[in-house]
Amino acid sequence: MIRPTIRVKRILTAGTAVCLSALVLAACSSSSTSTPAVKRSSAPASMTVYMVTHACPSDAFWPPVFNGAQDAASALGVDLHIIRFTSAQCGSIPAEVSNLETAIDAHPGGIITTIPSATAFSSALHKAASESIPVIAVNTVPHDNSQSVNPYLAYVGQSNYQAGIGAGNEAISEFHLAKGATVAIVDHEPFNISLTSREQGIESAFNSAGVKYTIVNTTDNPSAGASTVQAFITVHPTVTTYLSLGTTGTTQIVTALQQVGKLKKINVGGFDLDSATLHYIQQGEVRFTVDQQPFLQGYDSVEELYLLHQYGVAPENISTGPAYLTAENIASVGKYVNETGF
Amino acid sequence: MSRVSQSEEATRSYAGDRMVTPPSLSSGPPAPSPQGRFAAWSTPGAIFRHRESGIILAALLLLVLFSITSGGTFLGASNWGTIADSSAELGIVTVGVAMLMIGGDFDLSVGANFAFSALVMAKMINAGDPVIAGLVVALAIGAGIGLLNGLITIFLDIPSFVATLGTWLLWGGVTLVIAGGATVTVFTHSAILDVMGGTLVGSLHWEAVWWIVVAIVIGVVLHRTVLGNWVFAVGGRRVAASQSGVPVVRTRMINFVVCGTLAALAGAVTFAHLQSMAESYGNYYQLYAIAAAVVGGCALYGGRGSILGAVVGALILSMLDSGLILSGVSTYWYQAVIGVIVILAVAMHTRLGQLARGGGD
Amino acid sequence: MESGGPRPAVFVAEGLSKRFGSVVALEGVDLAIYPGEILGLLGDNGAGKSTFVKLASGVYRPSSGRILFEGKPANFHSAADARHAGIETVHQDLGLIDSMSIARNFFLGAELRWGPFLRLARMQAETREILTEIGLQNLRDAGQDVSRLSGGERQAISIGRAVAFQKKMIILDEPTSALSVKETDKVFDYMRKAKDRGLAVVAVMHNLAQIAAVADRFVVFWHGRKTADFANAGQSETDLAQYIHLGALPSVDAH
Repeated sequence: MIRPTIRVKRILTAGTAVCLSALVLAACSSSSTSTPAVKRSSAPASMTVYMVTHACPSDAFWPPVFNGAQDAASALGVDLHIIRFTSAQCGSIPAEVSNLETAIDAHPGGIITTIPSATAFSSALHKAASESIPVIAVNTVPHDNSQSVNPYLAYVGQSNYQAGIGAGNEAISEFHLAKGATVAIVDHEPFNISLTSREQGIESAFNSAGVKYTIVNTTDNPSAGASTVQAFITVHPTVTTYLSLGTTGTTQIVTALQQVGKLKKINVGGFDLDSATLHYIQQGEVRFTVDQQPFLQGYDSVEELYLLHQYGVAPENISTGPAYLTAENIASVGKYVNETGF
Repeated sequence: MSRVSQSEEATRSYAGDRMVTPPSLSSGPPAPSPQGRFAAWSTPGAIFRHRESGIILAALLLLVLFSITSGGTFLGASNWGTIADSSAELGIVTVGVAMLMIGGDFDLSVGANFAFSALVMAKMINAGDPVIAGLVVALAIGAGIGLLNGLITIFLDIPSFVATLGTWLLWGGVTLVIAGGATVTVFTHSAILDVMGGTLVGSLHWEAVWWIVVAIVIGVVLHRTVLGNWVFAVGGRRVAASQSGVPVVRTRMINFVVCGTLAALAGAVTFAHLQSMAESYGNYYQLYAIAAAVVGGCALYGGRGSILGAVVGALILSMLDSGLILSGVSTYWYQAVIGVIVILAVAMHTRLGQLARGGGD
Repeated sequence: MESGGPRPAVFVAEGLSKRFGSVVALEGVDLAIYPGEILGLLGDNGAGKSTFVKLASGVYRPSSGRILFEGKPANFHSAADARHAGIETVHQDLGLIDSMSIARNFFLGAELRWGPFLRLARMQAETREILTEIGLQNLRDAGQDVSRLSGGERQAISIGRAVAFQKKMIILDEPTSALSVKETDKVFDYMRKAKDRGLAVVAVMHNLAQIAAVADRFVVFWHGRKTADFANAGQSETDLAQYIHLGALPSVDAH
């Protein structure tokens, strides 16, 4: 009952985009005018939800988040609009803020958003609050956020700082890091404050244990990032442990090690889970990853807004991580990974 | 009507063989234009006499379309604030890029300039320097980057497209280095930051005001001053401009500096709005500013274009962004649609250019 | 032999030579050009016409010899120098900017200004006035783009500029190539108007019938030298062709 309706709408809205192209020279035909009628009347959707993210098209982390959100939307009859970056917008916080402001202008029943900046989203979030649009933060919030700066009802995700401390300690015990050992931390999104929080957590764990670290900044571009890491490996042969801050970074490290023939000779650990990381851990190329259950982040954030809208249930913070996955326990999540759309 | 005044003009003019006085010295009231602005509209098809008519019409059609597809939310006052804000940030960059393109040059480094200058401003404020000092330094850096672009392009005699491709990477890299790649966040509140990018009314922020101010100032400079005349001449035919005594090098240098300064101003007001800045914040701007200028009718090889067109071009790009979201279309379409719009707009400007009876003097 | 009348020559070349390495492009040319005359430069390709034009317009500097302009030695370092001195050179591509209006082209580099601002209405009115006087009768709007104009109308603008800005000499490089007969006649009218204003008009043209219709005097270049200099007395096109190919008339020797 729900699925076909959504599909019809997809086709119509895609038609709008195509029609748009023809618009500049000639007026659009009347076909597009039927879109809003279908959008509202026959659909059983009880509420509209906008999900605003800083997801780059090349980032394999995000599809399960969106799959989770879409599954919840289908099950609950929510009209879900997912807004993410085009490749040109990647990393542009001004673009995400503008997208969030547009979502507020649509006056939806609820908004789910990432908050990858301590200040940039403040004005938009206050505006949503003043218009009584419920906002759930997902995946990324500023460390030690104050509600007076960035007001939102609840956060669905992991504490990235705590996950960082966990990852640091996991690395120390898994790789038997002694005092004075040096670890390279690959940051593929230096602008992203959730990765910065993870980094700070790792640093905190390492500082307590007297482990040294150095940061290698790369970009979202998988091959360019791998080249950067490869260059670092070549120049620093004494560094024997590498940590990523996300799946893109993990793949960059593995690709670089492959290039220089040092796979499995160097210790690798990281964050998040995608099918590539699953494979690396099964092969023993990566020893552990810190999982934050992205599918749950999507599913639970939609569900919380639905429960608030339908029954007035106040949203609660939901901690989706961290969970530490190694070759011993990774088999148990294989089914989950494959069925949630990695 | 125009024909009558035409013959009057012909009979009114010279009788006898008097020597022509140099025009700059001749006196007396200027003759009334026989075919004024309004007369031009009386002939069929003359609506396209002005280059911008087509693109303004396209913007209005988009407005109508999105109003329908969004179920009315597109027309809401608050959405106009959103569109004005996001088009202001792009639009300030676009005004400078448009002026430079009309003069026959390119600047691909505006995005890197945007981020670098604003990031220095952010770091200065965090280090305790006054906000105004940060702003002045940011604008000076923008001007300096523009100056360097001009020097490299003109004195190394390499195409500005290539020169600024180089400086884009250079300043992008320097930005990553000085910020360690990270986002710089500023919690300081100040009146200057509020007036640059704070809330003006409702969802409208101050940057929209700065965009309008910049567009009016540069519009007047470009279309109504001697410098503007030189910009069009240098972009239209550099050799001919030089033969006529136009200071080509000085004109091009001014264009580069103005473009660089405006990129820095856009970075500064965006920073003032968001209170944070990172290298990646500028990613969006270099190609989109050129796209907006081209949609607005700036010729890729110079000589043609207008600030009004550039303003409408930036507005169209923002309207597309917001309109597609409010119509429930996947944001991934945005990029594709902009590509199509750029092609259609250039095709339209070419056709209308052939239809037009003249320029916009 | 000279038709310049009592007025002194505006432009005098004395032993003007130009060599590129061992190649002699122009050798020992003596030539006086007078105000109020139309001088036709004749010569085959490579005869030295264009070298002479480039020397006169400041593009080249002479290897030896000198130029006197308005009685004073002229040492042009660039085309801008020659322009500044009062020599306007209109090349085949005209040096107009298609994307700009007639008035903006007309006043380019010498804009009518009020502070930094253009006086556009006045520029348009004066452009129309001067062009009308030059003989361009049907100009509707000096605000329209130059790209809308025919080749003849473009010549009118270039010649009109020389007149309006009181140049002393105008050099026209193939002003009528690619023009219809009707348009060519109009351009000749513009040239005569310029001559009537006291300008020295130098025309380089390949079409002998056309140049014969407008020139007061001919100068012939042949293998880098000036070989003849005579008033237009209705010589036949065949005779002019003989000059171009042989440097002189064979029949002149027979007399």
